[in-house]
Amino acid sequence: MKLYIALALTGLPIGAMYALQALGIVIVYKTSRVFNFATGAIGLSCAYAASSLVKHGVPSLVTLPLVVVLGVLIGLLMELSVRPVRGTLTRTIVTLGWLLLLQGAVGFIYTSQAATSEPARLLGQPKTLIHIGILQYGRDQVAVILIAAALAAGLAFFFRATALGTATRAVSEAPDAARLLGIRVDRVNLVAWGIGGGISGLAGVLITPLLNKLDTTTLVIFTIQALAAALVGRLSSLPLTFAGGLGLGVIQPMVFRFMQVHFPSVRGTDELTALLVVLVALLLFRRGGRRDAASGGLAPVAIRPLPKGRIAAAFTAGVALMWLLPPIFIDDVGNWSVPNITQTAVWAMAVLSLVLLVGVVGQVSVCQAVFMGCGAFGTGIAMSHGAPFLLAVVLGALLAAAVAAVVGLPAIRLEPLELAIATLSLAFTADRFLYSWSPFASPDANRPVPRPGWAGLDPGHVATGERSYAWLVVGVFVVACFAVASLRRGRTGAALTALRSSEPATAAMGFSVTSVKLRGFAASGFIAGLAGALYAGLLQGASGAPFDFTRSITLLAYAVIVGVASVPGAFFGGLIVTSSTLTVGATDQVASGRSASMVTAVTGLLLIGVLMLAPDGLAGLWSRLLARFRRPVAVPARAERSVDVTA
Amino acid sequence: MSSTLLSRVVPAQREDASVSSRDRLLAAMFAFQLVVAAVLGGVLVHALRDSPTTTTLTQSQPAAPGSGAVPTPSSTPTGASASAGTGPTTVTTTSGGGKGPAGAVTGPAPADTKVVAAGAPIKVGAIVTQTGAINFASSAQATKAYFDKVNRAGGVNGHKIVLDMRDDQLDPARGRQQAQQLVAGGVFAFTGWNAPLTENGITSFLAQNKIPLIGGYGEQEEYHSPYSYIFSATYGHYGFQMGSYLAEQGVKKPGLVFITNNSTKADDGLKAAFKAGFKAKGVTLSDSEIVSVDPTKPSYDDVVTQFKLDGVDGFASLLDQTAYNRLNQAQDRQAFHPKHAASPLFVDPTVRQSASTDGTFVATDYDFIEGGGPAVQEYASTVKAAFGSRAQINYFGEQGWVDAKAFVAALTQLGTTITRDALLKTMDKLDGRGGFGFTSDLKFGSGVRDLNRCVKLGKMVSGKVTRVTDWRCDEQPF
Repeated sequence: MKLYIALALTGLPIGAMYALQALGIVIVYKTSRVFNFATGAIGLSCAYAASSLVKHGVPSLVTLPLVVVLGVLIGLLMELSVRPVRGTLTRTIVTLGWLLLLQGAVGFIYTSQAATSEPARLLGQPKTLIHIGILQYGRDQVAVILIAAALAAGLAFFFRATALGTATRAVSEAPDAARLLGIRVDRVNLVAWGIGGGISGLAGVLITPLLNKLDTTTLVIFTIQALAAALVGRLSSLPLTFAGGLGLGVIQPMVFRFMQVHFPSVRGTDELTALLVVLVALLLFRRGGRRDAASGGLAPVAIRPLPKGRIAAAFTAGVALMWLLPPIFIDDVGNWSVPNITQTAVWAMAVLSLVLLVGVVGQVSVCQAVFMGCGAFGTGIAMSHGAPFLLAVVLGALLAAAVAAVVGLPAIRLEPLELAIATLSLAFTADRFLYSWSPFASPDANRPVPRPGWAGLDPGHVATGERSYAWLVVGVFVVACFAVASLRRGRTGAALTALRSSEPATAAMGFSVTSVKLRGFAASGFIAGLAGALYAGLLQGASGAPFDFTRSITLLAYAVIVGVASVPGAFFGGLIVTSSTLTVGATDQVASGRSASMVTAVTGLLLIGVLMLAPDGLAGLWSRLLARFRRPVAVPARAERSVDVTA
Repeated sequence: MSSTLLSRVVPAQREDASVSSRDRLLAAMFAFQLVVAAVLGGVLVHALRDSPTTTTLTQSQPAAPGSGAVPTPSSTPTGASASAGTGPTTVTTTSGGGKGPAGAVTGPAPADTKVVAAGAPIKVGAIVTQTGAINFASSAQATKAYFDKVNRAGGVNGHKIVLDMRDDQLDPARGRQQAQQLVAGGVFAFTGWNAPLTENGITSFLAQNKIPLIGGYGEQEEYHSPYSYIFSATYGHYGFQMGSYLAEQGVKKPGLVFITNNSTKADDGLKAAFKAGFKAKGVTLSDSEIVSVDPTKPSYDDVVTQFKLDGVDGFASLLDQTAYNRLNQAQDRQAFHPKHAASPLFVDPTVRQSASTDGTFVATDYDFIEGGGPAVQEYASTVKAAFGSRAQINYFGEQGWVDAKAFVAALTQLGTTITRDALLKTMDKLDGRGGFGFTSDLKFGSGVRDLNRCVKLGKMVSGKVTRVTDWRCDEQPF
């Protein structure tokens, strides 16, 4: 018992770090109902800035306010970028864009020094010790605990006792009423985002010396842990958030020790603990009933139905034919080779699964890569039991569908934003736990997925089997595309359309909301699982690395960029993912890592830009351009204008 | 609600109003597709008719020269890559590769005797993770610096070495594609490979293509492939020696903390080796004092507190640089400094040393850079000269240097008949005494895969490491 108490006390500083980050999240959420996933990225930007300033001889007392101001500025810019965007979930996805932008920008600016920069120790060296019971804390650790407590108390007082605080609460609870009362809602939001950005920046500067490391990932990972603390505080109570952070910090070392002794092969216990807290907090401490997708989720966008008639059928056949031909005319290897076609089809299928879930069903998932991972490992498991490749792929996809249906269960009760939080936590936990859990991933954390060569199909290029395999994967993708596009038709289409607009109306029409949602999740999981299984076939092995949590984020980003309601857009999503992984230039140069950082930053920028300017994505933009091109011919100008007005 | 639903229907009707326009567009696109499909279809039929139909190899088999699977040097000149720019290399094929029943590798692959023409550059492939949380930039620098040095001195037997190095950015899919590209580009061999996430999946692919792999990070597959030569000691040797040495130093209640390999099998092997090391000296390493951690673990206060309260009087660690910094910080906070045996990354320049780290034992299978022999100093000075302020001199750099050095040593002995098969045979006969100035004596020989079986230990004194043992060797399984 003494050991467990001591372990619990060692978690207090870590808990304070979670709390610090969570405070920045809660401040923003309290006013704008937006979950700021970029909190950690703001922190790392400020931490790197502080490191540079200190390195150039700027005193700590000057550096600290400067980097907090930097955090405030980033917060203000973020508010300006989310302001024109409709829907809290869409706005939250904008913050995912900021996460990628800031993370990529820091990596690009600091390049090879990014991993070796020393954190700025603005609170002095850590060795000065304070004895508390059987433990000794560094002065910096105690300072972080006290600063987090003071901030939580001070901000709670600010929101209760000041006019601006009252206005903030009013904006949070009823923005329209607040506006009618003369409160300048935009300005209040701006202030809240500024404060949130400043706190996130301060958190970054204070946390990195305790972590003894400055890098571009650790603080982002901390955001996921801070989620749990913020949810314990119901995303509104600052003292409870502080307590939640400390509580999580205290629990994790105890759970870690318990699992090490009793279940030594289980990894990722910290993440599992955080996920458990997230789920419990979401299900128990929720503020109210579920909102309609239209107000809380992504703006409803209709999937374009499949064309009808003979021309359409011929068009369909033509598309299918075109898909099957490229593998024949591209080399087996090279910078754009047959495996790249396979890769494109796989990632396009993953994006397509999001088109189905987000665009058609109206739900959201930030753990699509986990479903892919389930498909991949499921295939490996099936093959290890003697299943032939194609059957194993289907079994793997079915496993992913089952997992997706389970993940979809909370969606029955949760708002889309809450679901996004839960699924992101799951993605992170899968990274640390699932992909190294031996019954699932094998003791090697890598399951062989040998694929047949199908020699007869491709007599000219049999040795690699890449071409035959490309045909298979592309063919599966085409079929999946038509399946998703067909969902608009019939009773299922009516149910889905109704669900996107209003759950009560859906129920009133005689559809089971629960059943429709779960089927939607399962179908989406099945397609993502297929993608993962076929990707494992491409690599001839299933491992967790290709399906980590950043992949889940970028998949959602690409789906939004190309258009979550566009089936053809999924192809371009896959193309972007593949292009981003190609080797740019070759050679005997020692790489600086700049290209990877640039891709990340550009992805983030694109995501923000698309959501601000064209919420229906590039595919929607293209459709509108096409409509403008043909309108003068199809509809008289006057009639068109009148339609627009009524619409 | 019904009005909302109605509004969903209205746009659909509007779309129907312009259906004829869209159909016209679709019809035009379809006509275009038909023309393209007809042309491409004709080319396909032509291509299939010209394809050889007698070859029946599948993915899991070695590619036969001329099969078209992976363009062979005879069809893709070695050294002709855009990156190298050193002119084409003529490689002639003198015999074919092995064949076997579909879907299985059937015994050792036949000899690959493609001869590199006199004076032609020799293209060498390397995949090194230089971007991402785990980074081996120092290895990349060392390998490149060594080959540059050799080329400046005129090359090997008149052949310049062209290094085609790629960064997998910690992405196994990218790494696999890069490996395929390099093989297709006709690389003669791989060397200086340090990309842990890529290596395990690619080693068998290289073996199927009969590409020698000289040096690597040291994944399990690599220690068992007849085509690869790994110069690093396995965890088995590290664990055994670190455990037995701590026991010799009087440790009675030991602990162990290591970063998990995300593989239960590898972790279990590692634990077994440490236990065996302690047990050899009559000390028991209890399961409850074995802590495996994730690389992102933010604080080691709990691990240190546990060891302290459990009365651990000495512990071993296998961590990375960041983790060592955190461990040192936690030990300082909790004033806990028992006997400690660490991995070679403990003396990496990015790990902060202080008075409290003095007394730490450091195990290594490559010589320490501080106080290392002339070969080690040559490595450090060459890389510093080549990369200036960007130079990274550390343990992984030593690996990259030795990989390149071993390859050149074998190549030098090959004389004028440079073939992959001859390279493999020469590697098996290399004189491993002295370990190229970096390691213990390496045991080369036909079928021998566990080349390096020794580690030595040093001790931190005034923030610097000083050797305290000579090479300590064992026959632990790998």
